[in-house]
Amino acid sequence: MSSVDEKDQCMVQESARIGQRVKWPALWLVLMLVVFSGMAHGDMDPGEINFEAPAFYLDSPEAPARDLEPSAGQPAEPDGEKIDEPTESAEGQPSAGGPDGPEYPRGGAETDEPDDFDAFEGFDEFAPPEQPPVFDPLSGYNRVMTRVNDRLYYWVLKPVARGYGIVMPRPVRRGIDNFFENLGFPVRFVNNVLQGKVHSTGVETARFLINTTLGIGGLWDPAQRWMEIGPCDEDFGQTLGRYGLGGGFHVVLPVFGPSNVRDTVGRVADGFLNPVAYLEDSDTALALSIGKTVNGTSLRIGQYEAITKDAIDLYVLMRDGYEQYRIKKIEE
Amino acid sequence: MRRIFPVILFGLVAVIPLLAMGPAAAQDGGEETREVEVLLKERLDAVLAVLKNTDLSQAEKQDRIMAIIEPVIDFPLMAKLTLGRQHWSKLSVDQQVEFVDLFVQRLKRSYLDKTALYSDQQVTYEKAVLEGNKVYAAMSIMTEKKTVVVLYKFYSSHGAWKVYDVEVEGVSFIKSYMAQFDAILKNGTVEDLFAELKKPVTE
Repeated sequence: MSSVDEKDQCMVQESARIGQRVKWPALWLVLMLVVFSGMAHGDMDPGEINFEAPAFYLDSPEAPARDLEPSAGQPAEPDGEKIDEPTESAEGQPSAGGPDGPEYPRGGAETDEPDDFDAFEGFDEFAPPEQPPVFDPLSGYNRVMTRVNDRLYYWVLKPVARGYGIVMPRPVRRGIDNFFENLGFPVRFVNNVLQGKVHSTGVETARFLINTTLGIGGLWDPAQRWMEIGPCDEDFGQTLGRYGLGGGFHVVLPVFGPSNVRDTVGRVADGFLNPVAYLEDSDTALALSIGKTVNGTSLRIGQYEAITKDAIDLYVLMRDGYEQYRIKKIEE
Repeated sequence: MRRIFPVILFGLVAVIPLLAMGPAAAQDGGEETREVEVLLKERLDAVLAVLKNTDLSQAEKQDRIMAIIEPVIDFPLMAKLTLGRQHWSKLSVDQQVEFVDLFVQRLKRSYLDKTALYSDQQVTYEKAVLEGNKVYAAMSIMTEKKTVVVLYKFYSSHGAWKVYDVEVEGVSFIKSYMAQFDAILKNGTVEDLFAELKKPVTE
């Protein structure tokens, strides 16, 4: 009994110290959570969702009107002739285009099919790009939050992670990253089990056992280094997707970035399997989460930049990229 | 909580050896897939050799890389596909030429920027697969923690295999640009799109 009390005492002191240091980031985070929870609890204007809109139904009869189907009544239109013409011209007179023109590989301007699109249509991505326009009721909010997250990265997270990276040697940061990754075992394990992935479940278990023991609490990753078994990332969003649940509309979470309804639910569910969430002291838990983020970012500076650098529409790039990425992850 | 963990642990130890043995199925590809595999490996090995060459300046590297990959990538086709038939057919001939030009410049720069991220990671080539009349060939880049899969999609252009799309971790170049262009063209004009494409890349 007394030993438990002592431990609690210890934790309180410890957390008070950490609490001081993280006051401002913590306040900020709380603010963001309030913003988000407001939205999650349905403060959203219900009028924004138009269930009658053709876009809402994936197989809407009205949707194909916007598609690229060749049979969509084009031949009679002036468009019908245009389809062939531009193909020729774009392929045939590149030099008119500018300095780069002549450099292009001209993949057979003369003998090309009448329409390149035909050749690529039977094919997943160009197969009817006539998926109806994306249903995105939160696009207004999402755009703002994408911008906020972007600024947050450049103004706060990146400078902090940079400074931290200078102070902390890389091997230490890698160790911390490994440690947090090892803590993610329950989430990966449970979701691998739920998806019936026998092999991955085994790999995850082996990794956890090896890294927790030989890797001293997960600070090292001997499983990866010596046995070449990497983590099998699975989360509850993927599990739901695997059982046929669609993503729902897109939601950009504060700090966490792009998500959708399904994956947000998954994130909350996975939260219950996160050991950090079970710390008695929520300040410590928050400090750990922030530490994890900063530490992780310091190891991955440059990745976000590389992805977003040449965005033409940052929000659409992130939204579309996220959904494609998740579909791939669920298929795996 | 703490008392449960050891129990789970020991429960799991018993099953691991059974679980960790996964089925390893290998299929033999046809002539097309082999051709593409050879082509991709040859080109990418050459690119990696350039990237690893420390004697070259950044600009020289980029020139050499372009010289290696340009013949096997159908940039103009990619430009066209990103607009989709719907938007492409609405452009005038001059606009189409201008679009292809702007987009290809952008795509090349984007690709070259990304090669700068490569820092000596180990690369493995996967078996190519035949998908209809296209061939998909994947390359895996081993980063410190995970494997990034880059999938190159080839089609046969008059007897020569050419890349028309690249997928990184399931995210397709073409699809991503397609979504962005579509978003702009739905609410704006072709001029808006060109203006966006002409904007210098920031940050």
